[in-house]
Amino acid sequence: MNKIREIALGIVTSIGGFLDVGAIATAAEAGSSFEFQLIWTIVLGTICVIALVEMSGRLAAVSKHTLADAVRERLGFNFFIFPLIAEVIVDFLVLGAEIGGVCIALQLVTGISFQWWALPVAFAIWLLLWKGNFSLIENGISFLGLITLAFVVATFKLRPALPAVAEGLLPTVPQQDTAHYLFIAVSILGALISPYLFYFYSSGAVEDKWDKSHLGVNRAVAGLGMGFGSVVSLGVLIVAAQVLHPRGIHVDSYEQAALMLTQPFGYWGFVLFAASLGIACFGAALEVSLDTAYILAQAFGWNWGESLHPKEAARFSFVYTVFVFLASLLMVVGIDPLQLTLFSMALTAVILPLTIIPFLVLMNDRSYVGDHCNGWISNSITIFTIVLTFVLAIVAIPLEVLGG
Amino acid sequence: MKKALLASLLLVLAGCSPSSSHDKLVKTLKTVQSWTATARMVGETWQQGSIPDLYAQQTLEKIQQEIAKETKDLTGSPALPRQIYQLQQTLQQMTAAVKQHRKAEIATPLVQLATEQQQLETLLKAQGDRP
Repeated sequence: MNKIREIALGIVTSIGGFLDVGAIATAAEAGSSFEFQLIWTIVLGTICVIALVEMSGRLAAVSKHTLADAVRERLGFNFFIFPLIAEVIVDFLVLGAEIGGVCIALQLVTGISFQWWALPVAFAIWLLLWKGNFSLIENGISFLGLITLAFVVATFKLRPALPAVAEGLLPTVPQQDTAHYLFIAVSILGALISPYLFYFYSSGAVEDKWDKSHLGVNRAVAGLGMGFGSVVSLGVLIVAAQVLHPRGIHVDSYEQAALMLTQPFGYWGFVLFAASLGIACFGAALEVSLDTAYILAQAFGWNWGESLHPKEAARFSFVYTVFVFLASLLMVVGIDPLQLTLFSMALTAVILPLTIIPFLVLMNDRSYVGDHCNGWISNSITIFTIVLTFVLAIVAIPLEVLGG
Repeated sequence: MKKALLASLLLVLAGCSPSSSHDKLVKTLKTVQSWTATARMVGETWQQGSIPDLYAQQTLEKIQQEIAKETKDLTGSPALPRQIYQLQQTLQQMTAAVKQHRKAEIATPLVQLATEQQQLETLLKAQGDRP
């Protein structure tokens, strides 16, 4: 009974915590610009992310190592320093974008410019990290994130033509705006296959003291939670395609995206969009801040744990404190939140191979995962993802220049 | 090897980037059209009471700024500056109606905006058909 409760809780928190600023921005831009044509990228990214999240959890449950710990130990610090630096830089930009998402949500509701909200939002994030514990952050905020299901409800209300949606499952390249199309495809994959998710998930599993008895929970949470979570992303894309695309609106700013739920829900649609954006980004900002503190602490062997008192993990707490306030400065100086989001998603795609390659080594090493090594399906998905991420890494920046 | 890679990357960049003034004009027109469509949706949803006054006002002001920024260095179509000027006038009327919370007064500029959107579409089509 306890395991069923854990699975249910895990699935609910995965759905509620799935959406973040990157997923909202890229799916909205994809739907508004290319209707249903980019649905395949969400499906492809979800398959990859389910496999990798499952592996992160399995590694943590069997070896009691977080992903960062295991990479450092198995491949050496001289290797780990590269993904570490890359991840910290990308986390910094993503955190700035997530804070930007919360600020924009507040701007939509209050009319006060997003820049003024940056420091109060950063303070709220820091306060929750300082005073809260892992369970509150993992479950509490993700439960609130269930509000993002509004996009799924809106999809049903808008009744999209199913054959057209199904056609989007097949990869196609349009004759016009090809560079922009490919850039959005790369950004969607960058937003879905987020390295921080794997580091955070494995750290969370260690914080929750997972063992081999949690392998079933892990499989269910990764598969069903991420699977259902991606339905929310699909919801954003389909709603944007149904509401904004026919009017000729291409999302270049969050103000445009804010209109997408007004057609199915009227005034409440506007409120629901702002609430979804704000809560999803706030939750993700907490996770990204923690992720940076986790990987730095695990890299240098410091005490770490969100459930520890800040005094017991001083350097860990210091990292997220400094990180949150520095990232909020990106918004204070007035960087466009949507542009920062798209840029950081493309940059995420660039660093992906550094994060994904170690999975192949670790998940086939019996000294870490014992009898729970990868089977041929998991290895095939990992190898496919590595090849995919290499392609993304090579094309991301040129596409940013051409189509971003 | 490195040189070959660099050369092919430069070729791709040169081949795909909107290098000609025609491409730039088409890109600008598309952006202006998207902002015009946004303004129309903002006006309509505000009229229906589906969005707050402050958001409608700020978004309409932002749209004016974005269109001005986008069309600042525009060349290549003699009719366009006049069209953009008319569009900005319409947007100002809409903003004024929202500011004064007079829902009836937004109806006329909305009709005007629909016509201007149509004209932009025709212009874009004409530019798109050009080799």
